[in-house]
Amino acid sequence: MSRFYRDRFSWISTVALIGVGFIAITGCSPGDNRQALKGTVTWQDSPLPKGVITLYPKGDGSTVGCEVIDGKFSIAESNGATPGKYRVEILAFRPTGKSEFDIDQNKKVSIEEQFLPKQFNSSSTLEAEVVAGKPNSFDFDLKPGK
Amino acid sequence: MENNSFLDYKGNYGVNWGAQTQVVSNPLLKGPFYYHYGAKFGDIADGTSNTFAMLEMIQAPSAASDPIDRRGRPWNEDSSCYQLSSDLSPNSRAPDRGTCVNRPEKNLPCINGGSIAQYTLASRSRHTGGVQVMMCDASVQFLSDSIDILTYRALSSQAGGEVAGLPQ
Repeated sequence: MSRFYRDRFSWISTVALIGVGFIAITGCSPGDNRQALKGTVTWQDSPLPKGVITLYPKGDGSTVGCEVIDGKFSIAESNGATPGKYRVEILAFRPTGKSEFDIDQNKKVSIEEQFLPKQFNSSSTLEAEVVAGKPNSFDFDLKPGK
Repeated sequence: MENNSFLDYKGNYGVNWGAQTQVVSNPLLKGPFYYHYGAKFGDIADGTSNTFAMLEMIQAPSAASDPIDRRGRPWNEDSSCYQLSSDLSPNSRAPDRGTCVNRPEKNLPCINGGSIAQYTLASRSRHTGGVQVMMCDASVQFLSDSIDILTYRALSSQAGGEVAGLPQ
């Protein structure tokens, strides 16, 4: 090994060791600062029986979301949101009374429809701000025309 | 759910369905390959350079012992196989909705079940930070995971009339 390569090798090793040490201390990749989320969704003053909530980052970050069941939702830290502002969209589903046969599931599945007005999803004005180190709890009280 | 009883085949690009959950109320927001539909070039009023044709997807595991996860099947016209929509951002940590298995550790989160109103698959990839897409003019672009969701949807609709171009 020539002197040039030896010096270069030790330089790379040092950087690599610092990197490994950083990951070992923070327990995760650098910049990963996910926060658990939870909250409630009510529609016309009753807990929303079945839906989906999605948070889209207004800056850097990833989109996160989960199901809403009986008016409640919760996202674990491992799938949580990094601090920042988010656009929130909520969809809700109800049976249409029709069903169709699904060959993979080998059973009839209920055909459902989305029924929340677009001001809560495609034209949403709902927002949430995720903050590090605090309980991130959000309550959405949805009413028609509001 | 039933297990795979056959050897499955998977691909890694899917076609653009548009903004799936909004198409019911506004058919102009569909993509060129929407359900029971195929666009002519003249239908792509937003412009072929501003409309996705195909987007990247991850092949869900499909060993014989696995429960069925349709994601990545280019041969099957059932929902949640290869039809990608812009309801969720690229590489979304929010789950896909369809006949699938929840595998968040593989960048394949899922809420299993549902019907056409729920079905949605996000574009997903194995490289950090974004996905490759092909536009209807056959150009190829790299999109960031943090692309503004409204811009992303505008690029997925073929005739929504939005003023949107690819992020520079």
